[in-house]
Amino acid sequence: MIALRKTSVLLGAVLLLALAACKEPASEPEPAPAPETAYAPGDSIQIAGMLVDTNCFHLDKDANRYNDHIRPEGRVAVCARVCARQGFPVALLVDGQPQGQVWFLGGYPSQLYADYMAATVRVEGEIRSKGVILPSKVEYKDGETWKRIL
Amino acid sequence: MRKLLPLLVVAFLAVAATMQMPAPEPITVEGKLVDSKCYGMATGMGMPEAALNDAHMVPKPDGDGMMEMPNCGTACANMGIPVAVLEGGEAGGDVYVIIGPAMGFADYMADEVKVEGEQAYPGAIIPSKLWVKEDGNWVEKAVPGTMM
Repeated sequence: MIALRKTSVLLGAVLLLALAACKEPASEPEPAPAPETAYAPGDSIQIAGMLVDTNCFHLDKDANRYNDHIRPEGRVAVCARVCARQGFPVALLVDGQPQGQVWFLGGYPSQLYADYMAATVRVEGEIRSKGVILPSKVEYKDGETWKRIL
Repeated sequence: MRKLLPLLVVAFLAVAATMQMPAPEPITVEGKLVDSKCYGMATGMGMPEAALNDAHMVPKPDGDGMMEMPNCGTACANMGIPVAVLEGGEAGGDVYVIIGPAMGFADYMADEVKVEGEQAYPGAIIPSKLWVKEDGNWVEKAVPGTMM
């Protein structure tokens, strides 16, 4: 009985500690959220970042920036490429940072980007609606060279 | 105590994970299903109404005026061009890109749709339920998903 009480107290303390640690990350502050864009539909835009698959990125913004993804069913190899080939929208993650702004690349088949998922890219285009770019030029970085995708 | 340690670690991690994962915002959007290429381009040309139906008005190949391209929305979706819900179905409404395989939505292009899901990104919806208006009634359809 005493052992059970001790266990309960200990468990409670650990849970409280966990809650406190999550609410006040004093030692390592959260990165600042991406600033709200001041762009309006119709504006021209040039941005650089990483190509991500929008179907999985939101599930784990750190791990799922890359080609292999962590999904509820487990680790899926080359998931980003497969998703793009299936027609799931592809987006540019600004600066490739987990908290970066996400811009959907509208207007062209997602399959166009399938072989470049997780690559560093730069995009020129026009904003068409909230979070959506209609690209006129998309390039990926191959070593020190920029090569054209679109 | 040793037996208890793994349990404590699991409890700590479970609570921490729950606290740090912001839940996407639930959202329901009602409007017309459009393709992000033609509606985006038509909007840019100042004539969004040209891409509200499945047949789109597009520039003639010789650049001399416009011509009607039948089944353009369906064709675009079948090519994998992302589809979106134009809220309210009227030109100028908010646009929500559907996070789903575009080809799966090709049969519903320019239809009146209602999509329930989560907003994981600004201007986009992850669909969990889909209705299409048929003869004035909402008819629920299977949400096209991954083929993995």
